[in-house]
Amino acid sequence: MTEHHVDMPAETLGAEAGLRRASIFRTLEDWPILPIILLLPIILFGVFGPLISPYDPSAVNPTVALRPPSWLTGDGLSHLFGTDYLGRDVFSRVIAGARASLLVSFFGVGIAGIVGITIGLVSGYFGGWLDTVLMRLVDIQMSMPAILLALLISAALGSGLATVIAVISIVFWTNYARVVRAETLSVKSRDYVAMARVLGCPDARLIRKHILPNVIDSALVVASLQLGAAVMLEASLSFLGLGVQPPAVAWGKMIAESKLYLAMAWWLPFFPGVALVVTVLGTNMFGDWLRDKLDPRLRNT
Amino acid sequence: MLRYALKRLGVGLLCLVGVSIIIFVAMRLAGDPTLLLLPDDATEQDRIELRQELGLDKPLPVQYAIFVTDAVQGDFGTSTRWKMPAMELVLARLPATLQLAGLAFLIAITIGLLSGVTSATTRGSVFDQGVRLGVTLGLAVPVFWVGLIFIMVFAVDLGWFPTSGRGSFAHLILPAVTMALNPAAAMSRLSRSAMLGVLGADYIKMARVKGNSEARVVWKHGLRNAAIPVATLAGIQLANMIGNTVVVETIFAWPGIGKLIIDAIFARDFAVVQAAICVVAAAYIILNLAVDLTYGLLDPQIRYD
Amino acid sequence: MQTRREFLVSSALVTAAVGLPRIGFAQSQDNITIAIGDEPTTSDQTVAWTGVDYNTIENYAEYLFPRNTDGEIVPGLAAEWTYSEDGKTLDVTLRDDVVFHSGDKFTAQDVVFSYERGIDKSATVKNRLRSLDNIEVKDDYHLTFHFSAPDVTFLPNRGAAMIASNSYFDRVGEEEFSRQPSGTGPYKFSSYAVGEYVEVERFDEYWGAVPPIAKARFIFVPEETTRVASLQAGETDLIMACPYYAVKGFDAVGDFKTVKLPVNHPTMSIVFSTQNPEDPWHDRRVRLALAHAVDTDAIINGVLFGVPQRLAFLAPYEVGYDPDLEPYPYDPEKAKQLLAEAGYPDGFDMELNYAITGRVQMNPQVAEAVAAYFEAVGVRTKLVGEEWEAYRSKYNAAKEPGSSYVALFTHGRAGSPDPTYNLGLFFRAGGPISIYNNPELDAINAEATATMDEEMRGELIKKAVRLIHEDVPSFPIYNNFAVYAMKSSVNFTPTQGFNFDLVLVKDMSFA
Repeated sequence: MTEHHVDMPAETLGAEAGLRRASIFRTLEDWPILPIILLLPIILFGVFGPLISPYDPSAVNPTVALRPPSWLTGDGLSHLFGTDYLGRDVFSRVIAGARASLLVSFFGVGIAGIVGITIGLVSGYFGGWLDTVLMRLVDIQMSMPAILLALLISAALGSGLATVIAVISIVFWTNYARVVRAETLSVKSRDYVAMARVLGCPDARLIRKHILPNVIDSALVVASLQLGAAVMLEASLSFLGLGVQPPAVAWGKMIAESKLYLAMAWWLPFFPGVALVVTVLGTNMFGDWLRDKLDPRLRNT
Repeated sequence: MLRYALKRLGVGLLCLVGVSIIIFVAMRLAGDPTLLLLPDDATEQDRIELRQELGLDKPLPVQYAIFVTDAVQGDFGTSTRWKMPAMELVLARLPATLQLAGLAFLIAITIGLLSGVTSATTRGSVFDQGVRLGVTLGLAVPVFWVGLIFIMVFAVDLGWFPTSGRGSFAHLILPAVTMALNPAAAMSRLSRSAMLGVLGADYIKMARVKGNSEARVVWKHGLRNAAIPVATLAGIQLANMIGNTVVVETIFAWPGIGKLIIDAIFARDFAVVQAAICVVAAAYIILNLAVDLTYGLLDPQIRYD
Repeated sequence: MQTRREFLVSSALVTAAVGLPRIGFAQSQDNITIAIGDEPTTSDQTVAWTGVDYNTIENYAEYLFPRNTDGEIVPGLAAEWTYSEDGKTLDVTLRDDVVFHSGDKFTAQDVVFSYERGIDKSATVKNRLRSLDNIEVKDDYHLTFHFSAPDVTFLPNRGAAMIASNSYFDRVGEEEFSRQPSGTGPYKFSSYAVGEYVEVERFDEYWGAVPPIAKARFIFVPEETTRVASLQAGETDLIMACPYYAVKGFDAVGDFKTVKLPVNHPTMSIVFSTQNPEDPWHDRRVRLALAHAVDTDAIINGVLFGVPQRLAFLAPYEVGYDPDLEPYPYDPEKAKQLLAEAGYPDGFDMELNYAITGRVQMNPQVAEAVAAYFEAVGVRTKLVGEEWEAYRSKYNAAKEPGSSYVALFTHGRAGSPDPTYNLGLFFRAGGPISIYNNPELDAINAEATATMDEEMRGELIKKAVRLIHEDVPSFPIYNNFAVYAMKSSVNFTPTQGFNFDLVLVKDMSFA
């Protein structure tokens, strides 16, 4: 939970690609094969969930409550990941959870990105009092711990999928704003941009044509690293009772709910936990790859 | 440097005002404490009277003006749940949180730096792969889950540590380690990539050529140059730790400020939430300033103006 | 369910697999450590108002009319008492050999002080004493309570206010009075660590039988899984509010045991707003259909681990208990038929409100299960879970006649000081927690409230309960059971037949 506010300082972005290796590794570095392998099933679950799902994820059947995975007990494939305390199929719920978790992280991180990039661009490009005000806003936001901010927002807005997305957007936008502002400052000082300004090129056009393309890469890297953190924040909110509400299912919520059954039904937290780890691993690896690929300073080397 | 510090403190104060306004408005949007302060059989008239007694019937700007006037005199109001001065309550709980956050921070830094740097110097090795996997797990496993598992294994099964509460040093270990895992992973990840960036540089090659021992090269020359991003992250983590104790304090019944804030939010105890978040925000601002000032020690080329 | 592993088994497995030594934490036989959920909001018995306060305070402060462990009201600080014929005056004789922990002697003046201070400082005491006019002091050990109307809850509430010392207050002042409270209880308040624990010590000059345990420490462990772990690890001797999931595990292992106490209040119920003709559930048949639609036994056994029970309305020990009244059985076919008769053969859409935070365990799970049963008879149920404050505000708003509202709610049926009290609170038009309106019921209940004769009151209460049962403004899912879990070496008899789950150290001992 602690790394929500962490920016990867620009100096270190892409440092890992300093050493290049040959053959298969080269291919792996050119194409994000491993991340794709990890993330593809998750994305498929999220998009086509209802078609794949063997059961209705909210169908209750107390007579089969808390059954272990069926292949362990010789019951074939009836409940691949077992059942929960209401007899719901955990496999179907993990699939359904993909949708909520992806919605929460993509929308949360996406909205945060749009807001943060805009503010970062405006702040860095125009400077002056606008910059001061916007950056103080960032300071104010960052001096309130993420989870407490999340609690306050949930208390004020009520809880549910939309609130979780709002919380993530509000907590995460500052990271973009800071990174994009720093990049904007450096791009702005380049000769051709300064020249264009002098020649009277409209600000909006200049930002769109020259600055945005140069800062978008860093923003994408930040985004890919935040996807996992977003899912984790959702989990923490669920633990405190304020995550997504039924019938929506999210992995963090599934893990949080399983705490009562910790010692009697390991499969309840295990499978959503694996989904969570795979997603975070996948997005982080993708982020690393993206960073190696896109970072402008690296491209020059 | 003094001028810089003073200017930053001024900005910090401004931030604090901003924080207090946000908290003030957000809490009041979330309802009021009268439902939670009265027994089930209280009447609507009782609620109205209580609201007047608490001054919640006044317009919001007036309420805020009263809050600020009192707060600058050190009076943050009285807790509606615990019936004692809010700031007193917060300060009584602060040492417990500082203890927990401090130890967790030390653990996170130690494990994070050691594993990150070693992993960078042995890039591609089994150790490196292990660290990278560990980092991913550290970033992907929810804190509350780790805490509950730790209690089951290390307190209930093995009996090495107490399950919860505060008292001896042993009480501190499980919650601190639980809290340290996530920041340790982030620290490891960052120091690994910062070191990788540095190790390819010419001056490191020079140091090697000059016949310095590998350990000296890595830990002295290498780390010194990777120090700025690492210190930045460390500062942010230390500051965030104080606020991020919420979940861990709940699980381990640790009587700190995080647990206090969440109880106060649920109880709509405005005075306590305001006092506590102001303290946390102030701590964050001061720690960040301290980190900025240490940059000068790490890299004499940095000037403050 | 048979596949569910007993939870300590896995503990043993982990230990065996890792092959590491287990270190225990030794405990003394004279002292007891008790884990409770939340921290009390005050130490001052006259200010106390909410459940968590009484856990600790009842060990060092007392009411005038205590209950024994069977729940009967017995002589205590009040040695004798007699009601007048009309029930409006109560003459009380006090014990003359009682001293406070501060050394002050207990007299009638302390009673007047405690009642006045209670009414002023505690909303709970104020509400319980709404019908009290004044207290007349005859001499140091005789006084008379005057009521504006007969109050059948005054004695069951044990006299409503806890007793503190007037002379101690005058001597030390407000701050010290609440920092170092002084009562007449078998234990005296000894220390308090904010956020951690309250400690009490045996009081050797107690007027009654001196209890076996010398010292007790109440530690605050809000997270229920941690509370369970603290007992498993042997750090605590007894935990209160043991979550239902852990009961079977503790009962199965020789080192531990549980004591289940049917507190019965609150009754987790489905509650309807009945007054809006637009709502399908304005029609009694629809409400009845939904009552038949839910398999409460399956919920109790499957979701709530078989711990609590469901009562039709009152508990067997209450005035007016009706042994012939049965809860509505699970009958989805009948439910569908009733829905069709009411004009909803294809069901309808409905929101079910419930609280996602608060002290009731497994609320979301129960709400999800209930919603699934509603769905099964064709009622499309949207779950609306909200944080406690927001949820309660919405419930209060449902008092408006035009509102449209259904909730899983901590309703009041069984387990009150007197059944008329819950009827007035939860079912009377305009009652503080009522969203129901039935003038016939209110008339019967008003009569019952004014009737001092137990038998006559019982008949009236029976009639009122039947009315509610027929009209289904709410139906029960389960009644609250308080569970205490403890080491098998601990003996504890909780107070039965009472609407609080007390943790009185005087009723504990080590085997």
